Amino acid sequence: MTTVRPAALDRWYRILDDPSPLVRQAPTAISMLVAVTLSLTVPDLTIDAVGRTWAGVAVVVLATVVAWVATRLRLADGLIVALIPIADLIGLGLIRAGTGASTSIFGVLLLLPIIWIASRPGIRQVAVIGVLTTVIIGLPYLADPPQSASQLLRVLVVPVTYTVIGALVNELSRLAREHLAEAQALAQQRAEALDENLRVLADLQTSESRYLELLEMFRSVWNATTAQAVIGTDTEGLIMAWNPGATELLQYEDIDVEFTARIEGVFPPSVLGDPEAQSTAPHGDPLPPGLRAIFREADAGLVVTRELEMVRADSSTVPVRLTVTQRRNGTGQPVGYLLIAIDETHAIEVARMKDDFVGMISHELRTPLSSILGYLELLRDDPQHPLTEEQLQFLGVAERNARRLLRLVGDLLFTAQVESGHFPLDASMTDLVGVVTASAESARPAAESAGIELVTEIPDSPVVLRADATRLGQAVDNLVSNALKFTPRGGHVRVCLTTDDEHATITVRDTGLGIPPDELDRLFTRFFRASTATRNAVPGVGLGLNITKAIVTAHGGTMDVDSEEGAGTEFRILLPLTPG
Amino acid sequence: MRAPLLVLVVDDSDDQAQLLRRYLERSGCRVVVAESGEEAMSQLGELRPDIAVVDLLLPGISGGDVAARVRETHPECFLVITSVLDEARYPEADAVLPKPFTGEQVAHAVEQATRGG
Repeated sequence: MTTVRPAALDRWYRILDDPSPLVRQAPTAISMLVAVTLSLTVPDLTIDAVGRTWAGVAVVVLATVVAWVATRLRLADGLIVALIPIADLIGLGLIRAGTGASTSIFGVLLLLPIIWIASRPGIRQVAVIGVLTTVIIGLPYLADPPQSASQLLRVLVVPVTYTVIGALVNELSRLAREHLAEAQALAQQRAEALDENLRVLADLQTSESRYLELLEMFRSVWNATTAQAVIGTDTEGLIMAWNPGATELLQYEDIDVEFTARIEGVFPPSVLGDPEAQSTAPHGDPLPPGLRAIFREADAGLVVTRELEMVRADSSTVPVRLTVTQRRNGTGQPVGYLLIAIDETHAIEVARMKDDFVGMISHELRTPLSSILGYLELLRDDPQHPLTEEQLQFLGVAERNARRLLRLVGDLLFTAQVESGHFPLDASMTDLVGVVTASAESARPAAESAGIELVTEIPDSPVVLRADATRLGQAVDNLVSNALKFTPRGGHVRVCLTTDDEHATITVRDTGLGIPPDELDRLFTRFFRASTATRNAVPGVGLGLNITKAIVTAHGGTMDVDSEEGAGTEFRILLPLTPG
Repeated sequence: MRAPLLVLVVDDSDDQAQLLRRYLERSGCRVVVAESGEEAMSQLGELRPDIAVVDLLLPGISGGDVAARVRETHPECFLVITSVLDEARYPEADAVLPKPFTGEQVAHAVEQATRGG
């Protein structure tokens, strides 16, 4: 940026505004030169003491040289610079004494250094002037004492006059400096204020562009939200904003509903509540009690979610999932509510179809299996026709396989229920010691026949938490039967139950085939089977761990797993002792 | 010796109905089978069964409706629900026989009914 300098700033006399020592010294030096020249050329002017005069000239010349050096070196206004006018005063004093002392016409030249000294800050300058002028005026009389009263008076009056002039100049200079400082401070303040203004302006411009950006962002999000109806109201239920999604869902063709329509117009009476209660409400609340109840929850800072119906323009209803939150203005004051509605028609239809499917599968698969198992049992337990040992063995095989099929159907149904979110948890206070012991004991015969050592580490005191004992038992059963399936003859399976302050941990560790590390994160996925399982032809469909995890999750717990291929696997179920 | 208990079995699956009949008769009961909800409703008009074993999934009138009718018109009757559905979805009853049930479970239900009656 180029600074435009006013023309006045370039004038020559600007050098006097803050003169260098040499500029200050110039009047004295020039005056002395003139005085010496005059003394040497004008016959009336005589030099009666040559030594003093030339000593004075030498002092002034020396002072001028120092001033020149100080200027060249750009010395600050310090002691050396302060000594220059003092030297001048002494030099001119000597010249005065050499050119007739009290009769010298050059006495008046003393005023030049006096004014310089006096203009320096501090009252002590006046004292310096007083002492120096007294010495300079008085010095010639030391050799030649005053002859008359007028001479004596001169010795007294002249220094006093010079001192008074010095004091006046000193005071004027002080005032001038003060005014200058004030003016500078004021100018500084102005400059700072201007800077501040510029900064604020820049900030404003930045905020404005950011605001415009946000506004544009908001506008595009608002218009792009077509799958959700977004409706903004004021605190009394007047509709203030209505997005394209709301038009889509509720099929109002005209967007003019904004600012004229009320929110209760889009809800059926079942949501609005008893109209009697509204008319008797205090202060004649314009909102029906059903909506006021929802809004009151939103006022408490909650995100209110409801499954309910809304009314379309043609008076038909549509099932929605409605979320209501408080709407605030720029200063954080509540100014109304935001209602976001999602059409649930399709979701409800899908859920219904799923339920129907689950029911159908239950019936169509479990009914024939029930008959198979029932009639096999009849065959076995017919007292009139006892079976041979071999027949009983065949029957056992048929029963075992029918039960396996039944379990598979149960697992499939269970995962379907988990998917649809309808999975019944019959929770009550349950002792985990009993659950884990029962799982381990029921697996013992299978462990023995497979030649695997099954070890349990279970505390003596009960570990009680709120859980569905049957489901949790199923989860532990799954882990233990997996461990047995994947452990070769001669291996170990260890089932532990431990607790700390917050959790109960069920650990099932085997010395089995292990799981490759890259498959660990897919382990709990439905129908996923580890490569070690398929390679070794371990039977299963890949539902057990998925179900186990679903059960644990439903109890607010977590699962994790460590495994080393060829060394074994450890599964852990972590259950919170106090449900969150 | 007291008269044998009269049991109304409501199940549209003939296999299941006959299985129940066999077990119940082994426990010394007299059994009447209704193959649909409608048939069960008309039987209930004529009979005063001591026990009703009702399957939930029936074509037409559902097992749930039949169970409700039993409770309404025959409050003294011992109501047993049998189904392939999860027990969580059963209506209120005196006993349950989730399928597949065993002969022992049926005998236990009859014993409960005898003690209760």
